[in-house]
Amino acid sequence: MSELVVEGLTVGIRGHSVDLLRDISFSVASGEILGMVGESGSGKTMAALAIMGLLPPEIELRAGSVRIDNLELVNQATMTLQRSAHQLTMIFQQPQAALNPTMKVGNQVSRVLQMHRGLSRAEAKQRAVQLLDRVGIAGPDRVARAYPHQLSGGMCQRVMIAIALACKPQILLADEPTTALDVTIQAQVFDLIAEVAREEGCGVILITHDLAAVSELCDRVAVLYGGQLMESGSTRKVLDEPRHPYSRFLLDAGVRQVDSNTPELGVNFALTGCRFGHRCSRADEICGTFPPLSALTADRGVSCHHPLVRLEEFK
Amino acid sequence: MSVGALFGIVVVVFLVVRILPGDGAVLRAGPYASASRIAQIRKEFGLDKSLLSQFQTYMVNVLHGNLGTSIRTQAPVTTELMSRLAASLEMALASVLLASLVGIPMGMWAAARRGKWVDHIVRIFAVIGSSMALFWLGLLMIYLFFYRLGWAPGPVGRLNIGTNPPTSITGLFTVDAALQGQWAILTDALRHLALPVITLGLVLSAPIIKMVRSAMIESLDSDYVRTARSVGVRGYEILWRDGFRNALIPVTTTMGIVFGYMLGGNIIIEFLFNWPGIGRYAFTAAQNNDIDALQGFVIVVGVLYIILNILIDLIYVWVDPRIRIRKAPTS
Amino acid sequence: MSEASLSRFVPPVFSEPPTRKSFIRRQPMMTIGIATIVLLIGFAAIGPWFVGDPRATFPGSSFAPPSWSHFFGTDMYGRDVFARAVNAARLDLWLGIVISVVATIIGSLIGLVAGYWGGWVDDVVMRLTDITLAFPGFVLAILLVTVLGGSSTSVAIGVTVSFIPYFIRLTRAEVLGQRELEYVDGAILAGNSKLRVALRHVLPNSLKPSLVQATLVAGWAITTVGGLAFLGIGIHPPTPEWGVMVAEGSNDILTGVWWTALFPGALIVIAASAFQFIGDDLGSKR
Repeated sequence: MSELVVEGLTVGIRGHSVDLLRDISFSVASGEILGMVGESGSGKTMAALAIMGLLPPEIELRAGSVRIDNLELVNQATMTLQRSAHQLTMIFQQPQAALNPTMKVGNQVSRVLQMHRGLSRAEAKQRAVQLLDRVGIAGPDRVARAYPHQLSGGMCQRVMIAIALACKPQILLADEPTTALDVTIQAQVFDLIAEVAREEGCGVILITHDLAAVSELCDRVAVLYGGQLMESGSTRKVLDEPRHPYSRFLLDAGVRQVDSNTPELGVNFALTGCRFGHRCSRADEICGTFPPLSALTADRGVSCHHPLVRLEEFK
Repeated sequence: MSVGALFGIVVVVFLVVRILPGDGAVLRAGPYASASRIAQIRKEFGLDKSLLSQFQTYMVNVLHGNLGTSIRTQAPVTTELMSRLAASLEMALASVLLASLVGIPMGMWAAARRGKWVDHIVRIFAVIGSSMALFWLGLLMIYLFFYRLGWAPGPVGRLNIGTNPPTSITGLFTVDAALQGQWAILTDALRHLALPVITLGLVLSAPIIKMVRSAMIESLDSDYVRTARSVGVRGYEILWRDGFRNALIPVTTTMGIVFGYMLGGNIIIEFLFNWPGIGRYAFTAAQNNDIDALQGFVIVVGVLYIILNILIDLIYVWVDPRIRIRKAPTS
Repeated sequence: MSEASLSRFVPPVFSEPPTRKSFIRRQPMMTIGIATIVLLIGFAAIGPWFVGDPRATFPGSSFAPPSWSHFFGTDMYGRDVFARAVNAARLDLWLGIVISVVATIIGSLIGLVAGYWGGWVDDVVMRLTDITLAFPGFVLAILLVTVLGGSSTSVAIGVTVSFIPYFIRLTRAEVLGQRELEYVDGAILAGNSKLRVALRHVLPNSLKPSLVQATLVAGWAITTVGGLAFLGIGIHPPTPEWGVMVAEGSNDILTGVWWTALFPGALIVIAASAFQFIGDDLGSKR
């Protein structure tokens, strides 16, 4: 039973004082799916890349701890993150762009097998075909010999999942794995990820806009806005009874009930307090200071000075 | 396309020589010819006929591989150019090879260490390289390595005066000598190749560095490299199999341009090193207003350029699976 | 590169200015390039009044090595190499800039016409451009200059023509993209004539790649002019011109006299690199 624990993750652009991610904490256990939601620019992808140690060179990790089974991945002296693909691996938004266009997809799977499992070339090739079969690709021998441009987006995402599985990861990050896909394929890919997580026993962080998918697949949810963790808790609780005004706003946006009092403004990263403060109808002077993540119950946290106690109060 | 381009080249060359100010007969006759001599030449070369009929004659000749007669040597231009082609190709191939061996690793190194001092130095090298005056660099090379240090032979052509060329198989002296085990000739040929090839190779490496660097940066920033990193692929594997393998597509284009540039740039180097190739032939032609010879050279270069472009297209097919295989194996 | 990858993560509202750095620190290559060109142009503009006659020969003092009285030494005829090099700077820089400017103007206008009006005009222009690009530029320049006859004007024309196709291509490609944008339709709907829209709206928005190319071409033009002169095509001795001077000096170098060729050649490379440094910096920023 392995667990990923992220604490106080803070990230910013080199040479700028402002934080792009501020003090983010969450955890995922194996076999569990954590949904990470929030609008574009909320820092979901950034958080994933930070955990993977794949931040672009202009962006630096400023503080935080990332542990798997109590093993610290962040070197606190250099603020760099060392992880193995066996611990953490990731699948991306644009499956076709995420595969090497000049390499047969079978080889892209088998080279990972060779690397991580010490298999011979021939064994790895064979295993790769099995893995492609495992992720629901019909005619896996034929597909293994194909190049990415010959495959559809959905197929490419399945190949990506196969590559990720080849690492036998403890935790799998999926960054909007269906955004670039046809609506008809999206459900299949979501189901595949859930199935794989269950059977392989790995934890999954699912970054998505699709609240319906979150409610169906995820055990727990984390809501991000402007690089700040707004609220986290079990899916049912957060979706049914959001405590953060932003969570409420996000859920209502999904069913077109947006509060017309909430101004349409971009994220203001310069805000020292709550980053939703300038859009929030409940904001007052206290909101100029950063609200700590307060635990409501053991599993539930909200980062707000004025949490919604009951639904009625917000409406 | 290629047939059309070749036709276009012939037309353009024909028109440039006939329409621009400068009387072909006067040029051919030389500066001290009498009026009657000029008139005679005009008749002899059919320059008194209409432009269209001149073009007809010219086109028919070119199609038969007849590029005219050199007024300097009185020999057919086609034969003269063909006998010199191998010398030029040997130098061109060796230079492009050297330029790639220098340029590709340097470009990759700079890309992998982007923004670091290595990158800055490589960029400065590339900028200076692309503004280098070939003739000047060649002169300095001769001064330093021949005159001062005595490491290289003087600019006397492909072999020492006393050395006999190897029996011709490909026409490339180094290859022929190596194939037949004539090591003394091989050494001599290599020593004579060294200076011109280093000069050209250094200059030609500049555009290769620039292209490799920018293509590598783009490729290393790509999603697929991020994928490879996320699943634990590392170091050389990423640099070559993910980075370079994909950067190769734009780099191939640059290699074509560089090789094409070569066909013009070698005039200077062949002149400087007394290299008996088509470039020096063209130079002598230009000096002597040997219009047919110069025209013939331009057409041969045009043909080489077209062949080169076809080769590049073939290389694309090999380098880029998206061109090679369009059909999807599955629906 | 870095700005592009950054924008994937940072929303556009993020507006804190980056840490201030001076222009020199931010763009050292461009600074070196501009400073060098300004310096060279300054020399070319006022230098000739301060140095001796570049054509005056002093048979008694031939092949004097560099010294305080002759910075770059003297040549076979006892002429002062420095005086000649300074006078040559006028011709060479002038040629480099004029060739680049004229090629940019003509090439961009032709590219604009081809890209904006399309149809058969475009077909003809592009076919011709492709054919011209099938010759190595240097070969085309040699052919043109040989036919036009030897003078600095014919060199200017020959080299300019050999560079024009690059600008046609660049501008046309850019115009094709701009033409599809909605501001073009907007400007026409607002009552502007097609010609006016082409010149006032499309052209200025399509010029950037050509302007970057122009700085590179200014550099290449200087080496090309020098190369032609070195081969004895176009500009001939005793005209003070860097390529001519290198050609004259090339005979001396095998007798150990290095200065007659070294200095003028170095000036060609310095002047050409200066333009290229600017172009390289401009080209690598978006």
